Amino acid sequence: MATITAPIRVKNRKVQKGMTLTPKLGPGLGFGLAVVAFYFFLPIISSFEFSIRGANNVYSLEAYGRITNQPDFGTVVGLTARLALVTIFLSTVIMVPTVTLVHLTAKKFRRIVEFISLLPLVIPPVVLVLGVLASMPVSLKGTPYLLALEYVMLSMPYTFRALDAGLGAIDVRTLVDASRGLGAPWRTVFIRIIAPNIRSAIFGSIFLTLALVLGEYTMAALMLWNTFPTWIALVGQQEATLAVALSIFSLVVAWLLLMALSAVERRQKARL
Amino acid sequence: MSTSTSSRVTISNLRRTFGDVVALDSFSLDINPGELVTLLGPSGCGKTTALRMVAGLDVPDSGIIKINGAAINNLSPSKRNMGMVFQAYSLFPNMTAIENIEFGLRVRGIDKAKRRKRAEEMIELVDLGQQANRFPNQMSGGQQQRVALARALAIEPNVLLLDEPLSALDAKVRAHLRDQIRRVQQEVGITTLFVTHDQEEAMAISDRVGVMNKGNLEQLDRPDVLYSNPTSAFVATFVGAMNRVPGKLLDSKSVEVLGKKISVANSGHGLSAGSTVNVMIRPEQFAITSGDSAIIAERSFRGPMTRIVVSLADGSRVDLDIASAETTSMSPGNRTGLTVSASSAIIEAR
Repeated sequence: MATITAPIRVKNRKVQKGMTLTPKLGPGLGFGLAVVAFYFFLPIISSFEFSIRGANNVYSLEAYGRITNQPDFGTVVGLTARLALVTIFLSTVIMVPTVTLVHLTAKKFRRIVEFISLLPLVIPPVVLVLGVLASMPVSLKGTPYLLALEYVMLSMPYTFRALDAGLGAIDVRTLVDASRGLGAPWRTVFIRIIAPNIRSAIFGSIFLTLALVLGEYTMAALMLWNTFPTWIALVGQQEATLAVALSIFSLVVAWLLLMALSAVERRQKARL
Repeated sequence: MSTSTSSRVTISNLRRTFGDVVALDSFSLDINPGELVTLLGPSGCGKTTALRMVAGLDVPDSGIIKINGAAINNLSPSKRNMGMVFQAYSLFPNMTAIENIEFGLRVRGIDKAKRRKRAEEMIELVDLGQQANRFPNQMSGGQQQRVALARALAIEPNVLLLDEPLSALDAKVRAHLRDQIRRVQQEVGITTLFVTHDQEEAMAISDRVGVMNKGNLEQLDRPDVLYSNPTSAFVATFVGAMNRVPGKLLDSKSVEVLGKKISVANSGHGLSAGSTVNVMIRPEQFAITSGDSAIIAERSFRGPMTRIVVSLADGSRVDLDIASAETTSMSPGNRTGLTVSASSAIIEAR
């Protein structure tokens, strides 16, 4: 949306200063959006309806009330949160400098790096799990941090693309040269110059990583960790309604986190 | 306002290649303390490469760069204490103008009160005190470059490096900022290396101008000397407008052009006496005489001067700049006489 700073004429409509210019929704676009919304929301609505349908088709939120009372709830949420934090931290610390350096010094290799980042999508999870198990130090085996390392790999396609788009939108070379020329060490360049200027991209990559950790089942199951998704599957074997309620709950949590991240980003943007 | 220390820059035999392309070859330059030297040349001549090497943003294959006699080749950019203004807008988008200016002082660990005071002095120096709390996207291109200049000066650098800082600006802002850069440079007394492809810009603000061509420094001189006494055909044609008029080489030191004998300015041209050569004469180095050796082909009014284009007997065309008041009777198609007022000129093989 563009804010108008002086009166202009757009297709016979006079737009005054201060007004916002919103694109008109044509009937074709409106219909398309409705189909997409229907396709997207129908499974969620159906799941929600199933989760609140009790005995004799009486609707109640009873299943949701029982979520926090489950004996493993705290442990599972704690482990998943820890995995999410470690994954986000490692992913950010590894990928932000890497993608920045690709943009700075090896732009011709960008396609190769992008290809490598896509490999986790085509390599079967079992291969990744076995590879990591075989290559990591013994001290890490048996700790959830090994799973976090798997998630870092698994999130690469998303983090690379988000950060790549963010860095492509700014003149990284000039900003780095300017800050280095002013005496900034590399750490300061990353923390004070690069990171704040690709904040949206970093938030995007964090959210995608978070969504991945909250939803990833195969690797966690293969490595025998009881994370939120594996726990939902376990609960589902005993009580389908509760499992679906948990799925809706995790979806809502993910949405709330997305909104929180967006709010933080908007507040930062408003400052600029 | 504390004035910056004036440093002497000595560059000796810099060479830089990119694959098979020689960007800089045996490039040497001395800049006196407080002097503003401009590197002028066409795109790809190596001027920006030279400047980036002084800044430490590029590494020479060989050669030495010294500041006040001390070699700085092995210092990283952050340790060289250079202030640089870039061609592209380089203000940090996440910081206000005043925060941008403070940045270099902040990384040096200067306390907040001192760095704010210094930043305020610098922003006043570039007449942008009212814009201190604006973000780059709220400022015009010219304002951004002025803040970038203030930011570069705030750290009291050894040398100020200006990499075509005006090229993205419109003509009016460009002329204004050009004068402001010169004023600030003289006020602060800082040694400055300026890079541009715009000869008017170079001539207007420099103590000395170095003309570069294909990685080499062709000539380094005061702007007036460069204009009036170029030492090579490239400099003669690159700086200012230039005509190539046919002439006859009388001996190695003199040439006859339009019936007048003048001296040859470039030695070592390797041409033999009697040969026909191109003599390089500026448009204002001609005089109209009575006679009919040339035909006026075009006439275009340019304010105080009028550009007259004449055709010579051999078909070659010559541009003349004549005071407008003296051209009222000159119309295309008229015949006229022509002679040169220059006493010396560069020659080249025809």
